[in-house]
Amino acid sequence: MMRELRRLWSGLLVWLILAGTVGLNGVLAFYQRRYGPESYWGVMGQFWDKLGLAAVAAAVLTACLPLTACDRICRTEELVLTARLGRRHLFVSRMAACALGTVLFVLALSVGNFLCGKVVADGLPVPPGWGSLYLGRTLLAGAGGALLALAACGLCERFRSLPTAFFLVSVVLLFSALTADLKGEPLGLYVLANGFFAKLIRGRALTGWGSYSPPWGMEWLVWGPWHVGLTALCLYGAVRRRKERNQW
Amino acid sequence: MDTLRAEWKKCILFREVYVALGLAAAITLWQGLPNIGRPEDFWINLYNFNFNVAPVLILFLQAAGLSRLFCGEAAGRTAPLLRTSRLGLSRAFWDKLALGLSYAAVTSLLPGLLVFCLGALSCGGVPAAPEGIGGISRIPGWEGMGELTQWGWEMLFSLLGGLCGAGLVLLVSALARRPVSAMMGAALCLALPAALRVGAVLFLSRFPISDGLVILLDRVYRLCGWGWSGILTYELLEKGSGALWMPALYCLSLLAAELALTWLAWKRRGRR
Repeated sequence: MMRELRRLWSGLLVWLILAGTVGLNGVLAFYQRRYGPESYWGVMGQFWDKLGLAAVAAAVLTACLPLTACDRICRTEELVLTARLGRRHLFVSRMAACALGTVLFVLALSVGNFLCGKVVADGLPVPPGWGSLYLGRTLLAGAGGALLALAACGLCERFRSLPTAFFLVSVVLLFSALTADLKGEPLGLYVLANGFFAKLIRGRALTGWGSYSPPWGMEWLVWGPWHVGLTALCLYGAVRRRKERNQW
Repeated sequence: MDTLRAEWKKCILFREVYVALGLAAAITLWQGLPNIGRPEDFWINLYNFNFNVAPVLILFLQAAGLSRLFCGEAAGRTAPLLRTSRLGLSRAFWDKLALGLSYAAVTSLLPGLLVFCLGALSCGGVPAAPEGIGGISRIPGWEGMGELTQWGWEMLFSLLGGLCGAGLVLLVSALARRPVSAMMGAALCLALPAALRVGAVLFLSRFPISDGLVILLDRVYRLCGWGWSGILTYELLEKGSGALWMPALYCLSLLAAELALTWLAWKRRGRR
């Protein structure tokens, strides 16, 4: 698994996404410090709302999916399948590496954002309770990112096509992210906004599911198992496909 | 004709095309079904769909369906075969181009037409617009037009925007070596103007920045309106003086430039 993890992080694109996101957030932090210092830490805490979500999605799409499909792309799949650990072990290692890699990416983003904010804050005190809320959001984003990575890789393996998985994941995530800002929408949009990882990565669960928060306040009991079930379904599809092709 | 048929046979094997079309049809139906049998919302739903959902679907359909067209041979290692064929690379280019532009034309009109037909079927014909609906369409300055004419103009700019988007995807596809790189590159290029516009608006609305930066961001905002997403959301028309042929001419010029660059990239690939 460590080898797969190293491969995941060896690409230049991951580092570019990481540096670009932290840099862009640094610019925003600079202007926020200059023109609205009273809400500085509040804005810094909303990092996962837009930039963080986009960065995690980009990392999953450009790093995790190519790692899953690299054997097919390089036309070494037949060779790899004949190796001793080239079937189930490699598949499980890759899935674990993708999930762990995404969690590490989220943690690196979070630390980068915090350090950047601390430097730009120039002595502005961190409000009480901000740290625990930020940590909670980071953990939620990490969990959401890991589940998204697993689901995306499962889809990629299920369809045996990287472009297909790329397209499916990006469209669903984009619509899910865009829908979250709408208000007073019907049930279909409610499910789309909440059910496809975007709100989880945004860390919204700690403060309710935004404008869609239902009155009974039991969102966790519904959307937690829903996301896990969705990911499990994608992985089950991938495993079943591999078994059909005698690759398990 | 044989090479065109061969390209078509290759194209219908692309799995991502089916997934993209299926997903687009599902989203279109999902948007259209709640308004079935409500003639009072027919036009509002149609205009909102063309402005909000159709641009995203059209651009995604281009990126998903066309990114393999010009680099399929390089990825499948069959480029030397194509190069040594009787009709050569040049003929393959024109056949691929014809196929790509046909696909782009169909998929640009598909979402809008699907919603229109679904609504018209459920209402038993095209209903008359209720009072005070003028100006719901985002086509600027032409509120005096009939509803169907306005929708026709929207569809025309959906077609032109889709063709321009397809031109960019074909260009990136001719430059890239792998379909995935082409798809990612094309998706990034298509989304960049819209992302920059959103970013510029957010930045301007949040901070009271200096005049120089305001002018710079305003120019970025206006420039991005001329991009592919700007054509599909009629931002391009807001800048015009109302003459219809000017934005259309701009779209055709953009498409011609993209296709000329695609031709150069294809020739360069042939020389390797």
